[in-house]
Amino acid sequence: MGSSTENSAFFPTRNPHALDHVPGGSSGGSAAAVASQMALAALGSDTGGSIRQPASFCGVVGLKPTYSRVSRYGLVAFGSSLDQIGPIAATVKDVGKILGVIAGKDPHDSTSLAVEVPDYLDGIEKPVKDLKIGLPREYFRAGISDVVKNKIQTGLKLLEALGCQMVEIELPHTDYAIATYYVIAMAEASSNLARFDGVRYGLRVRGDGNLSGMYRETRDAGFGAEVKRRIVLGTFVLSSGYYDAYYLKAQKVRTLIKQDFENAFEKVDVIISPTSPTPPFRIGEKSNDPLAMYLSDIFTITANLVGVPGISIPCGKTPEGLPVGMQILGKHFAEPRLLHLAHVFEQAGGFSL
Amino acid sequence: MEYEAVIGLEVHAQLLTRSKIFCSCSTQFGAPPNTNTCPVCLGFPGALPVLNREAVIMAVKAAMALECTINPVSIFARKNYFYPDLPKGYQISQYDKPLAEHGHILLSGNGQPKKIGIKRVHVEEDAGKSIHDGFADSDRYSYIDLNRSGTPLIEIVSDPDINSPAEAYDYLTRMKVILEYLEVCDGNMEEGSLRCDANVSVRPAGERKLGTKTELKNLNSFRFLQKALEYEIARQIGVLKSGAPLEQETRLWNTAEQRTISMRSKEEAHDYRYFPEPDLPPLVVNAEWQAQIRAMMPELPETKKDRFIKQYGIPEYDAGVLTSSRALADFFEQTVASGASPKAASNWIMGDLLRDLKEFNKGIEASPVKPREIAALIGLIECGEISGKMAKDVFEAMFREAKSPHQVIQERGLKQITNSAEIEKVIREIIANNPKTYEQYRAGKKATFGFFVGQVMQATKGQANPQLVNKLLKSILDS
Repeated sequence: MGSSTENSAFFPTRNPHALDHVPGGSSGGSAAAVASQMALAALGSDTGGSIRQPASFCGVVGLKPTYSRVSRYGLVAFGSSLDQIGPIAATVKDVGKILGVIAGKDPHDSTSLAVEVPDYLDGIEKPVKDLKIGLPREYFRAGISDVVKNKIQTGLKLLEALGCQMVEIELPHTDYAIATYYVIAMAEASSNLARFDGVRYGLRVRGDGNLSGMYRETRDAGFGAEVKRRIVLGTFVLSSGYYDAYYLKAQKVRTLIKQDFENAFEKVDVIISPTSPTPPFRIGEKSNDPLAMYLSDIFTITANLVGVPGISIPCGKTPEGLPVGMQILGKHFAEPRLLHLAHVFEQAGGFSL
Repeated sequence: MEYEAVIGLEVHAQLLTRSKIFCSCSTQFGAPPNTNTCPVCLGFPGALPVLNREAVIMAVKAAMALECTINPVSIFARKNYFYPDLPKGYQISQYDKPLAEHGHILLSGNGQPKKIGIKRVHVEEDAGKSIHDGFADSDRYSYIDLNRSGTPLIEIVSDPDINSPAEAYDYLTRMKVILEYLEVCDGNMEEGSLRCDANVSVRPAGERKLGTKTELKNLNSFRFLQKALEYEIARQIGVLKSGAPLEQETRLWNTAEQRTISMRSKEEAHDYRYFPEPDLPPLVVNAEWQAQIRAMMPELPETKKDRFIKQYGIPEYDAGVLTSSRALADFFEQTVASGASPKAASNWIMGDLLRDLKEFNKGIEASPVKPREIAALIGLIECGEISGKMAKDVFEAMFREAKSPHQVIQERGLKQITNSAEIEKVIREIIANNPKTYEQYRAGKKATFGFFVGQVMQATKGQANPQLVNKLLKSILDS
């Protein structure tokens, strides 16, 4: 859980591009395995950017599909209304191939949809023409490190040269996205993690011999600090007396953020931003500052709140050799368009700008 | 000061689906512990619920029979609490948008019908079962059986319209009959397929404001419901009369001590942290589906009762008794369909049959006497083969030995004597043997007629046709 793998129950994963840096998270292991060529491809689970941000940090391609595109059956749930499984691979084509295999309706997941699964590689080689790319004013306003900003702007210039048109757009409720996301994700997580109570799964600590003692001590010993923080916050926002002010309000803001995206996609075909406002950070650099860690999710969490697909592709490296990632978001079920644009960018040398 | 009780009931009814509400495990009762289970109802990490369509149909039927408005869109919600027999740590239920609302039940009471409002009907899953005793190490451990986990339930919440334990009893009885008629619940309180909690408060008669309420749990029989309410109402009145304040709390009915015992106070009440279940889309029961379900609705008790009165010309009382269960009503109709006259069928079923069933503690479904045989028995009386009095004995044998009336009559030589010559012969013998009484009769003491009837019946072991005996005796004695 978290954006760095530093909360892992086992040990932190290292970034193959710089071993003293984090690989991103939470699916940092998957991204690092692909980046270090230990695996041709890997699956990740993305609740707020956990496929895209590590793909960005590790210089590989990671796709979070549309919510309901891939079955969640078998995925240990964190934020059930946000979670999606998706592929991580070195090339866009590999990501498309794997998506074709894992996408589709699953009778065991009531939230998966029976939308036809296309051939994701079909037409992927064609040039892009007259594609309108939305650049959210709010995303480029502040907080992005200069080196990331430079790389993304170089990438955008390449896309312009390839025939895309840049359009500045507005996503006016962006400022509320982080708070909204964490209220919903933590509420759902507090409930999803309740089953790890020592009765059936995982650790059991005997406690002082009574039931509540067993629960208390099992959960105290079995969960790490970040998980406990999220359970406590999630429990709080669902409590009677606070539900309306937090959880219900967050759901209302979620609807407003969805409307922001619907409005934006009336004007543009895709939305581009950095995947992460910063390049990979050093192990230990942010682990004592959960808020800073949460804020670094700003560009990725909205796709989960809204349910739209998002892909992170490499967009060159910093002078220190740390990968920078570019994120492309599309409408619901617009994976073919994302893969197409990403592939054209890859073929034009965009990955190693 | 006079006090008035205000009672609301929460009824949980297990639906008679073959599989569970969110997985395909069997709902069969009595299977070896933890065998009717799978990753979904065991709450495995990664498992997800898929709603059972049949459970929705049954729930909608129940809601329709309770005159509720069906919400075209209802929402599942998670009710979060920790307990070992709840493997996910939450129960999937419905909260602020239930399946159905605003219904009612009519209680006939003492001739004056009373409407009890139904606040809501919602769908949810049952938890597993904790078994705290019966094992060698029960002093140290509790055992969990998750066979019941995920069994479909409906929760039916009444308005606080009930004012006495007797009314609560009537309400629950009525509810049970309706659910049984619909074949959506077997109504078995002992096995827990029908469960009841009660919210009860008292207030000075005439007062509009509600008093402080107690939630009563563990009312797992009709008798316990009534007893617990009686106890609790008296207890609350006692507290108020002593001048002490009442506390809002949850109390358990203790059968052994015949009293309610405090379980937890308002401060200790659970905060269930309800929120919409993200693993299930909203439940849509649109007008079209509602119409389909409505078309599948069987005839309900009230309608059936009215039809019985009209169609069969039987008294309202009879119709009420006969429609008190769907099986009994079916039994009656089958008897009539087999050729019995309705009133005779009703008399035999309500009288001898129900009495014997009660004596042998059997349900109508297990009756050793079938509708066809009752019809045959009635036919035999009507055509004069046996007398009504003989029929009583025949019925007793039919019931105890599970034989047809013809069989019983044949085996016991019970056939009625309808041969005039044979009876005449007996009459003449009796007159010859009782000259004094005969003289008295002839002298005008007509009351001795009964004596002669008795003698004839005795001599024929009751097999002589009584009408014929009367007729022949009269003509011979008076000649």
